[in-house]
Amino acid sequence: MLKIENLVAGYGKVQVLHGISMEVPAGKLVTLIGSNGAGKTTTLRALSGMIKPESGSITLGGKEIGGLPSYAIARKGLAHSPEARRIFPTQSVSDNLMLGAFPRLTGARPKGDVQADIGKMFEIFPRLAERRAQFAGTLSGGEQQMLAMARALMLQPEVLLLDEPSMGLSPKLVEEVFAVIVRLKSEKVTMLLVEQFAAAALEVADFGYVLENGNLTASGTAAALKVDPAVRAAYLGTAH
Amino acid sequence: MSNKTLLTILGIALLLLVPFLVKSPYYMHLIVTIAIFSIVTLGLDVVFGYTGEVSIGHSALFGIGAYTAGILAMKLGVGFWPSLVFAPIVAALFGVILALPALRVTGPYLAMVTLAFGTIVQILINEMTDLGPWLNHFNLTEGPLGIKLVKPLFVDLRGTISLFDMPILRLKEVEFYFIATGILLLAILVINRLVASHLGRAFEALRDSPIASDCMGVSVYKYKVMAFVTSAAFAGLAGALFAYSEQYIAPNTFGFDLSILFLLAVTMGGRKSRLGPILGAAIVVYLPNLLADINLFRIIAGAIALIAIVAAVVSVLRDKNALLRLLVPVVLCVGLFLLSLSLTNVTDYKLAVYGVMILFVVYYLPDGIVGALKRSISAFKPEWVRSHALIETRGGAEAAFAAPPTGQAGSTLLNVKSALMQFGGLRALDKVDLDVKTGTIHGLIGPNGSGKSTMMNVLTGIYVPTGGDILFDGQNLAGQKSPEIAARGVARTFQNVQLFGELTLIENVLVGLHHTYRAGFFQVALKTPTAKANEAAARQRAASILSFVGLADLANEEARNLPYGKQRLLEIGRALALDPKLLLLDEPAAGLTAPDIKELVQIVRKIRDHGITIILIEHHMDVVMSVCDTVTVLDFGQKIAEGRPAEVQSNPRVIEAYLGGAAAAAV
Repeated sequence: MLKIENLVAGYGKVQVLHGISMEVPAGKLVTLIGSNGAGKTTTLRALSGMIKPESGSITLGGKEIGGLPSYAIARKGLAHSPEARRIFPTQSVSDNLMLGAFPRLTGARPKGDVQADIGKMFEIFPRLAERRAQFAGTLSGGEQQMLAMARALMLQPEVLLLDEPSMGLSPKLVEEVFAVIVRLKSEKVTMLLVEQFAAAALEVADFGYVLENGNLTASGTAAALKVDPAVRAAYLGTAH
Repeated sequence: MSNKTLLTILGIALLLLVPFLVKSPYYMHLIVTIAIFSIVTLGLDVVFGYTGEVSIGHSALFGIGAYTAGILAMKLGVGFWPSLVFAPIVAALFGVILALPALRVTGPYLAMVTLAFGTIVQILINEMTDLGPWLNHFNLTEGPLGIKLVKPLFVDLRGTISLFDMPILRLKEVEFYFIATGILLLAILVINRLVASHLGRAFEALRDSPIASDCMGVSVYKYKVMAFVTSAAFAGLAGALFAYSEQYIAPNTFGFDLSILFLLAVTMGGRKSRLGPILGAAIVVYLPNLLADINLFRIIAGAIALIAIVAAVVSVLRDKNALLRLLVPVVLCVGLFLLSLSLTNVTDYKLAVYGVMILFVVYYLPDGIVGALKRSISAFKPEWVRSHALIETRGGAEAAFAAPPTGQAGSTLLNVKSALMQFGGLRALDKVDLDVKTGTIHGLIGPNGSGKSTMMNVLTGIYVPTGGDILFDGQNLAGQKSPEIAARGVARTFQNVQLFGELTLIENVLVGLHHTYRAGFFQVALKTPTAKANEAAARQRAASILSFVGLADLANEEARNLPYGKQRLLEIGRALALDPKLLLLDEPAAGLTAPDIKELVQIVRKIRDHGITIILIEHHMDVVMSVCDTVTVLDFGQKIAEGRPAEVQSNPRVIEAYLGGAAAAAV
């Protein structure tokens, strides 16, 4: 579904990604792991057009999207739940969700039943339902994270990019977020997941890539990576 | 550094040569005007470029300076030199009156207040011809008639200058040229020193993150006012020069459009540089002359069109996608040329031309001419551009800490008594007690939305608690402002990282060290030994702090270019610079992967070992369990458990509210 070939990207003079190639097949959950500063967030930002790739190709469903502006990429069906959430703080929770569906409302994407999908989001994330009329800026960190995910899902995306969905969440909520990811996976939502809990990410993913200093150093089925001694030592170690 | 010295010498030599190259008194006068306007735009840049506030009142401050000189000369017979002292003082006083109320709130208020101020000043100058019966119907400003002045007398230089065979008529202009450029050079020197000092860093810090500034003890309000008043003084100084340069001032000179021209000059030339505002002033001053001569205007419009076409062709050959982007400006430039051929008089279109220029700058030169040059020509960004940032980065990590804070280990450092924080009907903190012992790491955990970050914000003065007391080291912090609390020794990091993005790593830490500086504005301007010693000591210390958090190699990188995990470490370093007794860490491990978390845990332990008490908010239970001495658990704004980590972890209420089923065994 999403295919990246020799992607080179960075910020100004600083090149962060030095030519990475990876693939996210339809209906699968792929995770990208690596240390802080390896380029995981940069990869997601390049995919959704928040930074312009210097070279390489990014195709979504066979069509080139590399170099397009973010809004055009979103219209083609790539949704991004960004690091640090970036919800619209002075709009209500419901309006945030409606904005997630904006390309559907303007006819850039198949419309479907937007209201029903909002209902579905409230079913997946009951906390959001309780707060639907509140300004999103008044939500707690965990609720904002859920809203960012729900807003991305409102696009009815072909591919969903999730950047650190568990960041800043209590252990109980981390479990809830992972339960949601498992549920989406069972519903065949195509996802690319970047997650600090690498072990937990490999637990739920089909396939994984390891990113190190802007280069992919390992890849394989999540089950295989999980038992790979090199990966275990570098990324799955505990914090003691 | 040699580059810089060389350029400075070349520049000064060029300035000395100007009177011998430019023979026409008219052009000499234009150059003097450019120098005077440059003093205004350089000062305006301190406010506009560095603190990010917009002033539409600088023409009024400029006018106040001019009228101070005019009134002093006409009514009191005070001469040129004293008025160069009085004019900036009077303008600065008006700056204080404007800034104190306008800068108390954030937002576009300064722009609006200065706009109103400009209008009022112009009308007052027009109308203050009769101060009423109590003041004997004193005519202060001469109203629309304006005030005439004569250029001051100087040492007679005729003997020497006649060597170059200059007519006597021009002498006054030449002498005045040397005075004006001399003062301009002084202004450049003072502003250079100011923006490179801790004061300049404060200006930039408050622009990038007001909250973090306040929490580093750098009062946003105080330094915004300082920047504006400084800027006003420069405008006033320039005004006095202007009055003597023109030898006639009238109210309509100092209108709203002049303020817009000043802003245009700074934006077009390039903010946050010395060359930019001067270049902008030159363009703005020269423009009316250009517009007055239709043939010259046609030639220049033709040249611009030609350059645009050539540049566009070159770009398109390199990158085909550039065509669409370049089409509009090229068509506009060619259109301008064709228009110039059909017009017979451009002067009537003066304001329209300014408008088009503003649009052009906003669309195509957002960083101004200097900014664009810096980006495209590598020769324009030699290392001395940010030479003040180049430092000895190899400070020993062991020098990162000042003397350990006093206080008996185990005694109470912070005692929060039934803290209440109410937002409308919501009790974010519902009478929470907290007792933190000196030298310990005190964990604060709880579900998202349970009030942990609210507690941090109450402790650091971002929120004023609705009720309760916060006793810290014998003082009640409740109701104190963030900078005061920071000064008492409470430092923090932020859940959503709040770095000063456009400052380098070492400058971020230097903002934290702001409290170590003793030098004020004038000491910085004069570069006194105190100012130099302060800066050297602070840089040494900052380098050590960066070593301590493992970021010494990146000292001169801009903070916004750091990956997330390192940003969190930098925030810890910046907080340490405050020499805190109490350090509040708000989710330092969020977004960090396992190996980095290990490093973080080491750093946190070392900080504690240096006698700094820590309150740690964290969701990574393995971190909390391994470093905390005591843990407090909040839920819905209330304390539901407190004790040693192991006790808390097995508390059924905590498992129910926070840890969840499987997580009790640690994630």
